[in-house]
Amino acid sequence: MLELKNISKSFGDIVAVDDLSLRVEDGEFFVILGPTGAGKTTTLRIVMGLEKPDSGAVYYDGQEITHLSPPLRNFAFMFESHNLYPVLDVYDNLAFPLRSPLFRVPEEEVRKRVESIAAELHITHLLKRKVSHLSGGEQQRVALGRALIRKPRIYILDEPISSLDYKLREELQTEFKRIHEEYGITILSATHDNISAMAMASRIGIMERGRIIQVGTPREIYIDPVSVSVARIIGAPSMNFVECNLAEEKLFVEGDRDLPIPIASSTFRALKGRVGEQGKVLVGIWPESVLVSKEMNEGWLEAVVENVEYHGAERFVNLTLGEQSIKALLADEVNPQHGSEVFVNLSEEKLYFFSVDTGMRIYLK
Amino acid sequence: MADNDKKPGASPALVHSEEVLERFTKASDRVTMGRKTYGLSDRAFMFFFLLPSLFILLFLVGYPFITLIRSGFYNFSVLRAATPAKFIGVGNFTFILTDPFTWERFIFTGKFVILNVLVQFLLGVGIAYLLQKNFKGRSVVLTLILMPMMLCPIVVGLFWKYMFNTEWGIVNYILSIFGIGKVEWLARESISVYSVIIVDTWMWTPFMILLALAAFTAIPKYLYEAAEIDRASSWFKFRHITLPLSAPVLIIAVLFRMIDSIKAFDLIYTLTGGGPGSATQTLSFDLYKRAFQYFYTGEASAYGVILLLVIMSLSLIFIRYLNRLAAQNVRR
Amino acid sequence: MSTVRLENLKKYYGTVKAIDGVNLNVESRSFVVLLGPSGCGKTTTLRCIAGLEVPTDGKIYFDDRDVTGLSPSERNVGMVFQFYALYPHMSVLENITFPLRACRVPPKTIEEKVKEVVQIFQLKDLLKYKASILPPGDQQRVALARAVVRDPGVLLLDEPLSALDEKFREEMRSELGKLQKRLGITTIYVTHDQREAMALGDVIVVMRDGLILQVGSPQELYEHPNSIFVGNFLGTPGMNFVECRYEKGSLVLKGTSYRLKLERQDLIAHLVPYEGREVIMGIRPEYVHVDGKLKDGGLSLEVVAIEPAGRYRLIDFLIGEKVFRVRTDWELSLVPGRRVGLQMREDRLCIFDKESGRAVVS
Repeated sequence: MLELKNISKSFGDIVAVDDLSLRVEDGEFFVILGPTGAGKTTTLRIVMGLEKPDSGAVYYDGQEITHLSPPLRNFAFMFESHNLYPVLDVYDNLAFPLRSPLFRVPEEEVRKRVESIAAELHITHLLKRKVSHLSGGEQQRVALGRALIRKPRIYILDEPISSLDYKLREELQTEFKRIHEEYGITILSATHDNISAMAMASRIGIMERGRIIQVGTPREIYIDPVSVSVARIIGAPSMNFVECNLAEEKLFVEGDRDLPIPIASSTFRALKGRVGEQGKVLVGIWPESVLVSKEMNEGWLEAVVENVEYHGAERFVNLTLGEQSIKALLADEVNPQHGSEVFVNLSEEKLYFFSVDTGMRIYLK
Repeated sequence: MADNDKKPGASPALVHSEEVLERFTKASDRVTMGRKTYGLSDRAFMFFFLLPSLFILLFLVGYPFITLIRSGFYNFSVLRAATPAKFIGVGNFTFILTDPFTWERFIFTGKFVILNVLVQFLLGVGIAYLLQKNFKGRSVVLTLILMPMMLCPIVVGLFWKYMFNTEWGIVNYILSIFGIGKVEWLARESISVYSVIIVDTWMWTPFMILLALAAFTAIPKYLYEAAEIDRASSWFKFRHITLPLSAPVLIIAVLFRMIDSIKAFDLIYTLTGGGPGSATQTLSFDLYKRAFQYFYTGEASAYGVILLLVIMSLSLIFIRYLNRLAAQNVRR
Repeated sequence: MSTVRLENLKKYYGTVKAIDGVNLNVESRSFVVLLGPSGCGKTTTLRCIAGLEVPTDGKIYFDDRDVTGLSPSERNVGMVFQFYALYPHMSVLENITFPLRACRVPPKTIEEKVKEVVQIFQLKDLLKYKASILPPGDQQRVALARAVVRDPGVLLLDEPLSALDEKFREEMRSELGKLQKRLGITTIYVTHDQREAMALGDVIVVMRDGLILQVGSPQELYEHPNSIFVGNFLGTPGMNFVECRYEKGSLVLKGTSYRLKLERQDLIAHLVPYEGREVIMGIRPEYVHVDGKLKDGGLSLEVVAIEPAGRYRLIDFLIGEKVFRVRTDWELSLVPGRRVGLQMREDRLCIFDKESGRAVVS
């Protein structure tokens, strides 16, 4: 089990990691998800031993390893740029870690292992080829093989697939997941790609500006984000955020008295208690929870269609609600035209409330 | 770490044998935690490597330089080494700075440098602009153009001296074919300056061309494509894209040429010997005279120091401008 | 707004055929996306339309006017390059006014146009900054502003979102789509990202190896691909391809004992020549239904992995050696190892010829 306790690291006056604590259990696929510059790579480098934290400590299975040099930690690292040895062929690249003086594995066993890994990753036909003659996806597989071959305690992957094109990314995503499931290895990864994070991770840690703001399974975070940042990072497409005012026992879309969102009076009272009589609230709702219809129904709001986005398996429509933009998932039958008027339903049980000032979730219970 | 922590049916490649595991644990125990290196730190190592070079630098540059500054405050001549040097404080400096001859030389050098650099800049940039596009025989043309710069300055001065000879020089011969009378290139005071400038330009414009060409080539092609789409004319593109983006390199080139022009000696010595009279005497030449013709060593040392300060201040202005340009490029 | 027509366009670089006979009709005000893997010729086609490349053969027409021999400045197009190509040393304002200044447009007109464009792209606070120091998202807006400030007849975009972060791309994608509809400019957009293509395009042109494979609306291409390549290229996640043998009105899935009895008459009619032979069946993950109860004679497979995707899940199965993906909601409780029943929507089945990859029926 890997544990980080109160890790902080600054570069000059830029705070890269800010009092970060994290725990990765054995066999987990933990993904640190966050925008570029959040401090993910720095955190991984500290775990690897390539950087020393300014304060805090790193533990593995209870033993402190904060100052242990990288090769002794026996963690495998896979970079965004794969860093394969360009002059060696695939076989030698895979064999390299086993041939290091720390291991002194007999050549016969090296051969067995290399062939086995190559078969596992479907790269046996590439064994004799020079690394520079491989495609991006093939190189990534070799890098994966090189990381796997010495059975490290943890695999640390830094944006392992985000530089590949979309189709390749999908393939390798499945590959990672499969290897994780089959071998039960522990993986700590970092990426800004929320889709692959959700697909691969057993648990996700959302990181922004050097801090971890939420940890949970992909589903947990999706259902229950603790702040606007989290909701924004995890969704694809992103959650809708509508600025609303409290007034006259109702919740109004900001700027337009004629767009009241129907909520229970108990909800209104609870919200009032938090933000005050004339307070503002940021209302969040997932695009798939916004219902769209051409007909007017009770409690539904007017909106204008800006354009329709076709996403293959589903269609989304960009709407103007009052003066704000929201996105809704369209059901098969609905086919709105650009500029036309439609009606949307924002039903209360699908709403998330966030504070306008702090962006933190307002829990009404 | 359990040996079989892989689920049943797993590939053997991913499972360590007991033996290897044990060897590994022993190895990690052996190397101590926390200690970085044996013996010297990297820093100390670096210092010892530098020591010989530092020593030579100190001896061959540092010591003479200090001596030079010191000499400036004394009245003496190396010729008369027997006579003890007399300390005269800033006497040399005031003499030089109040001598009207010095100021004549100063103004002359100023005119010479400005004209010289200007001509070389315009020519250099112009030719580089034309050489940007790839045409047949471009590499041959480039090689030919660069040749003057490769020649030894003394040799260049000497053969141009012959070419410029009023009576039988080839330049006047060619001019006479077009019916133009003899020009006293090196003999007439008013013309001799321009002759020196012509030779210096002939020799050093390639330098300008090289740097300008490098700067121009560094500008990404897609900027010109965008400008094409934006319907910019060739001049508009040159004025708004090429020039501003190559400015840093061009400024450096101009600075180099400026310093070289102030220092100009070898060409002048071989072409005109400073003449006719003192018509082509730059500050450097004047310094040479005082140091190695009249052997006023103390005075010449002071002169050298003054000259150094002049060049340094000029360079400083340029460098500060360059720094300002660089600072503007820092990302938000 | 201009229409654009390409007639048998060819561009060869020595022996390399970048474009090998491209015919295309772009309607006024439409958003056309050139989509394909790198090296397919889409960027070359765009550059030919811009006038930055001279085609080896073929013609280009804007509004029925032959522009093939004209330089870019004579074509009245606006272009956003992949790396924006902003003039780095100029301020945002100078960048935007560059095209107008280059044409010697009177200052009053310049002021008006600038005001318009600043309003649309929300650049008021950025005007005085040097273009090179802006973050990529802002640079892109400036590049767009510069491209449209001259009211060009055609707007060309070369992978403008590729340099952006994933999340940001999504946002900018929506913005671009809305913008195009609002401005009503004929737009030709190059990308290798099929999600972008489907979200933005009115018409998608799939290219490969210098040729056009299929042209149509996103929906047409998604539901009725004319080849395995197109079926595979579009869609997230990709279409499932299963090797089958066609026997008397049924498809036998290779690697299983399952026989899919076909009801569709048009399918059966087209498959007559394939009696006893192997074909490739294509079905998208969202058109397969997962059932907790196993049906007799139905397809049942063991769950290999579950990939959460927010509002839905992707369930991975194995048919033979290949991964078979199914998209489903969170209703059913699933774990790896559980056996479930699968039903495929026959109306969404595509059948492809095994050798040529072309669609037999889709």
